[in-house]
Amino acid sequence: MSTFRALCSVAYQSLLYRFGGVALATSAVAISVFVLLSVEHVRHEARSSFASTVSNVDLIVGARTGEINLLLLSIFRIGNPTANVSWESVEALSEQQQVEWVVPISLGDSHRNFRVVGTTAEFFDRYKYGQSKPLAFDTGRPFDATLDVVVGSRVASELGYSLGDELTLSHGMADTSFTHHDQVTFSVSGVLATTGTPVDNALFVSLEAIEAIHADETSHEEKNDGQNSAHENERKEHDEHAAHEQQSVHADEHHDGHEGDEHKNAHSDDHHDGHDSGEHQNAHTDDHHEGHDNDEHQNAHTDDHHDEHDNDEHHKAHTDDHHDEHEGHEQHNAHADQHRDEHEGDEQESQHADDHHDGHEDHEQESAHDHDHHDGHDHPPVGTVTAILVGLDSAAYTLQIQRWVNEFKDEALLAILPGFALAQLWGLVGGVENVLRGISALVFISALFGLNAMMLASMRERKVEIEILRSIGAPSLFIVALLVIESLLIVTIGVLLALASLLGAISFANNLLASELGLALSLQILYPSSLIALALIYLTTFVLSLVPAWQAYAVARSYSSDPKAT
Amino acid sequence: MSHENTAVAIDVKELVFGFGGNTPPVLNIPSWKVEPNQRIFLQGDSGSGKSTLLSLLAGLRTPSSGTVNVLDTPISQLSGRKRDAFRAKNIGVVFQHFNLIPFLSVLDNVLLAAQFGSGSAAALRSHALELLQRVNLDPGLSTRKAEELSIGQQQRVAIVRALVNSPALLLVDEPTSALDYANKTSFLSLLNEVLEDTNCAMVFVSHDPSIGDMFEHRVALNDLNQSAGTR
Repeated sequence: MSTFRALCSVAYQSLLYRFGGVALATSAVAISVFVLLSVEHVRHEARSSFASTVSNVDLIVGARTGEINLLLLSIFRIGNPTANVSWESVEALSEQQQVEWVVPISLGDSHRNFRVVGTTAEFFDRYKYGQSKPLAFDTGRPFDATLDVVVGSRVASELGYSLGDELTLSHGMADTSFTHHDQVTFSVSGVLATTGTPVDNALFVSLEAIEAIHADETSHEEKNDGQNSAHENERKEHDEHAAHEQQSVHADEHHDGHEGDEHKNAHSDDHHDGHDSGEHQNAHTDDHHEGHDNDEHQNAHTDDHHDEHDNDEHHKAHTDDHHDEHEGHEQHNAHADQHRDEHEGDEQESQHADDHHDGHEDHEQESAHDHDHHDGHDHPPVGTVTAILVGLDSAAYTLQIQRWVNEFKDEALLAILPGFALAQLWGLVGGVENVLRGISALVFISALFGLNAMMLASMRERKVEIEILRSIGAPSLFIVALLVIESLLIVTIGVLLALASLLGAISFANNLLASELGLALSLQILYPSSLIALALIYLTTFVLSLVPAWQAYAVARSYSSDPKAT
Repeated sequence: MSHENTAVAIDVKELVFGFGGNTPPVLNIPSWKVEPNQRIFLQGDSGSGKSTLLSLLAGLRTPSSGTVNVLDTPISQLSGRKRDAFRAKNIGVVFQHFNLIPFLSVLDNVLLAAQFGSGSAAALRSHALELLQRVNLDPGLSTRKAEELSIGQQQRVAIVRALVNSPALLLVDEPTSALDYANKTSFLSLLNEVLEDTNCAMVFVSHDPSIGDMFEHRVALNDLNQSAGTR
């Protein structure tokens, strides 16, 4: 044992003696081990981070596309939606007996390079990650008003948002997006805790909000079309002033009814346009009429119009196709735009363009615009979603429901199993992974060759040392062991340096990775596969160190066979 | 600390050594004995095979034929490992130039030899320090790296290193050739002084006949070696 200690001590001091060469060899080893371990680590981490991105979701349903496309889009929010799923399909799916819950997701908007996800409040209860960990709120709570937004932890930290802050959303992705929904201001209702998943990099709003911001977009066009009939408008303004004064006691009831209708109308194509505006109006009156009793205001207003329109010259046009259905709310919706315009008009007099009739026609135009608009961009049309997260009563139904979805008649749909798709996606990068491992192994071997070259080069000066050691009774094996231990020591120092730099690099890389992919690497760098890598490193070192050791052994055996000895 | 050196220090019989091939043998010594506790000056010219003979006596080489007995042990017949162990325990060697591992401290150089000889460096630590003092080395030097010492100091450390295991045989190979005259004489008197109260036999090899004056027993290698002059 104490011979071993002597051995280590001699080896250590021998290395210090040859510091220059040893330092270079050690650096080479450190770098190569660093590369080797980081490849191992990133591979391991990426895989587990990948696998823990989403859990407790049994199926992901979307329009028919590639499985991996759907996964990338719905979970990682990479890529753009190519087709959407109609709301009818969402309902049909949720009506399936084995389906416990569905969480629709609507993508296509962004906020300063972060994706905006339209979904339902249920998302926050249903979406799980890691080992079934639920989403948690750092502050605040899920959205409940239409103009509430919940932000992911990274969005909050990067953009400095906190509870109650206001922000606007833009259509499409990135700053290059031409359309900004500048008119719609959202306020932060909650900030999510960090998850290490793409959730951190997203903003969440209700589906209604997604619809609202696009309805707003179309109302810009409407406003420009309706600037002609100023005098009509004047008269109407007059009417409306009257309405403002005669606030009806029915207003509240009416409003409640309206909200109910609005909800129903969401499922009906006929009512879409009106529905949009209604919602929009609700949104805007909140903003524009702060301090007023908005509900009463607008509802009273609507009622007035309804009544007055009996005597109005535009009455016919107005009631033409809606007569049967009109229960007030349709009118209300039609008026909504006027109402809004008027309020803007308080500042810009010339824009009091809309009269009832024009407004109505615009609604029809609007739906055409809507289509054009959505053909040009890739935003899901109103009433459709991008993907649906599905939870089942039991995992046993997974395949059954998957088949039901894949064979769905009304629409071409695709259902994927998240775990399976994640594994498939990982399979794609698996090849690259092995190439990286191969390269890092070769880098390491070449570093060992460098180490051996250094050892062999020092053999000339070592010859004398070996003679001295032999003369004081050191066995040949001692010389061999000395050389091997020196190699192992160099590699050990290299490994320690590599581990230290790996820890440093991980903390550094975490900042970058998290912002790009929402992935986080753990600082836990020792696990089976990296331990196996370390074991292989030492085994290879040992085997290769036998080359200089054998050389030294030969020197030791053929003691002073050179002419100098005589 | 001394051995019971009743055994014959060196007994060489029919020793033949050559480097192989067609070259004539370098050494051919029919018979040579060194008595216990005897100090012998072995004079030989350069290239006469002095160092080769010493390496045979130390068991660092084995003869082509014949036997070498050291302290009644047929060292030429032992296995490599046993020769190493025997050498570590019983034979001290001092070379011409390089005796010390340059990157080890003075004390570590000595203790490393002790480690191989006794299996425990710690046991001989105080003995090593005592010996270092006896060769007039400043105790402060003991922690210095060997390469930082002057040649004269290194040669004195080499004596200590060779004697730390209280060997029965000391083999010294031209240790003075690297020293100037003043250092040469002081080195030799120091060597004699250190050996005085030990029972250690010594073979001191040099090409310089003038040194031989300080020795009682003198031998010329050419008288022993039948191969001498044939080359």
